[in-house]
Amino acid sequence: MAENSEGVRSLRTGCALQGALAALSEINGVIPIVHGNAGCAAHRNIACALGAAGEGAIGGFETPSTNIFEKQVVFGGGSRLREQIKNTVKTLNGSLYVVLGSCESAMVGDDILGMAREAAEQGAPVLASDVAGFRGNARDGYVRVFKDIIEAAPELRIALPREAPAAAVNIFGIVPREDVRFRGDLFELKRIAEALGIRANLFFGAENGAEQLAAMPAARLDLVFSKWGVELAERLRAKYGIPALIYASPPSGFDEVAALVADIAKALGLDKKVSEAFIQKEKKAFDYFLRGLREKLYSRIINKSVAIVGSEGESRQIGGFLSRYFGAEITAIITDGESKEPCADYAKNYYCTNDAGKIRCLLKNAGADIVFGSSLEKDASIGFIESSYPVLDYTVLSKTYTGTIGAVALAEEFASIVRLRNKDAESKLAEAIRENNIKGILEDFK
Amino acid sequence: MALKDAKFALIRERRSEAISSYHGTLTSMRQDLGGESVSQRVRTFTQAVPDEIAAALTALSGVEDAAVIVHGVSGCSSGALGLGFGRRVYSTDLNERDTILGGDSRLRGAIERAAKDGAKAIFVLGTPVVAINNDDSSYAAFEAESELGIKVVFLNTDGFKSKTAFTGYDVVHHSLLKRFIDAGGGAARDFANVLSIDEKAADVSAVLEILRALGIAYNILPAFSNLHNLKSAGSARVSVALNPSKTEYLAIGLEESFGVPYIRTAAPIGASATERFVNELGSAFSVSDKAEEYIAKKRAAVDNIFETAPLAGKKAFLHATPSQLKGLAELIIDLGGEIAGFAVTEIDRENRASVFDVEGVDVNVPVIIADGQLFEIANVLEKIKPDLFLSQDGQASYSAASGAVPVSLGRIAFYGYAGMRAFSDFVAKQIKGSRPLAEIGFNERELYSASWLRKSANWFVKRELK
Repeated sequence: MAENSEGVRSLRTGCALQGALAALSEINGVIPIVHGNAGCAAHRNIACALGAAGEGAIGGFETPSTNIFEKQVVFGGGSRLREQIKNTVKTLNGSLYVVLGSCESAMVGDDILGMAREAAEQGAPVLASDVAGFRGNARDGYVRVFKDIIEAAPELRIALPREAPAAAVNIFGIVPREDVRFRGDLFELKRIAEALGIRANLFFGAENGAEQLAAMPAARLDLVFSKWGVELAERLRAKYGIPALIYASPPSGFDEVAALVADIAKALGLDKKVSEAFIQKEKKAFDYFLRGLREKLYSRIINKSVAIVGSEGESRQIGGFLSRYFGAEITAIITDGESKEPCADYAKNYYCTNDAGKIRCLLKNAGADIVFGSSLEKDASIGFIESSYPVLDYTVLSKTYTGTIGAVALAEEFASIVRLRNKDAESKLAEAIRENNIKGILEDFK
Repeated sequence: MALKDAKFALIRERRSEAISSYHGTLTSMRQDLGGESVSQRVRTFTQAVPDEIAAALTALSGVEDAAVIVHGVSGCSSGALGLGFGRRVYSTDLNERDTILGGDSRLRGAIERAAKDGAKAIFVLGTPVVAINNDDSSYAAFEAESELGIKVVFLNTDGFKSKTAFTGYDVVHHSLLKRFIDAGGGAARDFANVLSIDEKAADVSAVLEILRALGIAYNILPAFSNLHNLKSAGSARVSVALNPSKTEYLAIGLEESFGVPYIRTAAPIGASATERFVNELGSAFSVSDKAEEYIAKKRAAVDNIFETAPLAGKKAFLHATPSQLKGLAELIIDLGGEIAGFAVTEIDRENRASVFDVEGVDVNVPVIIADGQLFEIANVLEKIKPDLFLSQDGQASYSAASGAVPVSLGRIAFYGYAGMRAFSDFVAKQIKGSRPLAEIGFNERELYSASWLRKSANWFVKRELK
């Protein structure tokens, strides 16, 4: 974690508890139980109520939370947690209940693992994960809770999916809510997988849920789409021998989709005819849509300078597509302060910070035509696309930049903002000419 | 002792016997909580609720030239992202090491940074981690204040001392009374303090329309304010509160320590409360004739709406803050509707006699005292099947599964005369368009177990053992 000794302005990364909670809230049939003070389960909800991260399978204010108060901080909150576990299991229908520890429970030493074990020994599907907020950011929380689920997977008393397909893949690295387009991203990856005759364990989404967690060890391949899934794939490889294909970001554009399909086909030994037919079909669709931009691409859209603020994965995805297909110059990538190593070699400058003040200065220096970033970077004087957490002014449901369909959406959005900027600049210039022209006439008539 | 003279703001439970857990009927509630002293209840199953840090952040988000530092781990400042702070909020972003060795140096750095960025005052919010660790954050704030020459105030928002988030408002108001409000030489000036926390701009506008009609100048705080507004509050002629249960600490403190009388009138919601509000203000500024004229002009238009009874035959379950509940209930009844049940975020000594004092409500309707706790409301909705469910922002939509039309109070204006029309129009439209909403389905029926929905809804509410 990036060291800081001067505070972080408008800190956007959330804590480990919030990341774990967001992930579990998006899995059908999983009930998170927060063991923390009032507010622990609510803060992220207050931030997100306005924007992209809406309600998942279990909504913000529905989240069971022990809401511990002073007495339990002083004397320990173990018995309050025991009571809460017992009553949650009775009140809320779920296939799996996951107790999430907080800063308070960790600091006062409440035995959350013991309490969960006690319930599990009595037959209730309960496990616990220590995701105290100070253990990391929200993405760390996603990793931690999934690691704990992987460890517990063999004992999870969850019914497996009725029809176990011949080939199933686990998808990791797309972090619910932190990656604001996670729903659309996963949906597109599922579409690609299904076209190859594979079932994708997305865990999150309409046709997914707790049973995919139980089915996870039986998958034949892990597909990892950011560094946040690497540790999970390693764990599954060590425990169950599942091989993994690891990518720095979800694929965007025909070229990356084709490469992904070829990799999967090779790893699973799929019928080449099926995968190649799909690749051809995707190419036709991709070319068809982008053809609509061809003329404007060369006259207006090509070679713009772009700066991107977001996670490493999403920055790489957006920057990669725009530089490969539109010749964009990526003047700066500013990621969330997690890694000193550049996530993309095509970026002229690479910075790590999650401080809104510093990001603003860096963007000013980058002097890009178009900026992709969160609502905190929004600036009316530049061409701006809200693309990373927090997105406070737009609703994001099915939007994605992933796959062929998502890449077309990205192209569409990019071209629109470029055109709007060009139009604005032309109107301003025309207005200035008109103003001077009238002034000139007035001077003549004096 | 005057509120301002106490070292810290007491938690609501101690200061005003706040109750945030109860489940019964109007009759049982009057018996159980109507006496001189009341016993606290707790729930043995609970869902997420905001804490005093969230309330304090909300209260401070409107003070435009002050910065806020949340002294805790990254998650504790998350809520601020949605509260419109702009660039004025910082986190000390404590990590595991800091939870062991303390985070004072990070706090000092953050204070210096906020001052360098141009803050004219800095509020430092405490969090559970620094409270449990016993970091001496108030000394760090005190030390920085003398070095930087601007006010740096540490607020004790521990996050676990109180069971009601409303304590967070009191903590902020205590600091305003103690450090920011000026007596202004003692002479009252001709303006009213309008105490507002998070009322919608349209609601505040509706109230300002009243003040303008009466020719009364105003000073809104802490919402829409700056340090000058805060400072001036001590020399106002009177204070009125737009949501008294949220700002009563400030109002009482201004009265006790600065001699600014507090007009103890309900929030101007619904015809009779709005009328009282206008009359009280008119009388405080000796413009009662203008007040009567204004009411007469506005009342006629509102009566026309009431005559059409757009909510006729509709049973409504209402979930609101204590200061808004009575006015909204009366408005629903005036619009032809019926009250099928109440849920209120908290009640205390100041408001317990008046909150549910609404004419024309069956004494056997269910009453829930809770912030959130949607499981309990889901249970009640399943049993009483109301036509409408009016609730706070973010807590309304789930009622669609029970067949009720959800109405989110977070998005409708309902203050003053303008609010009566807006509320009526909004609810009528919502009823008209409710079918698709109900058909979205959500998953509430599957979320709550059948056995819970059959159980008595007060199952998890117990008397607190000391």
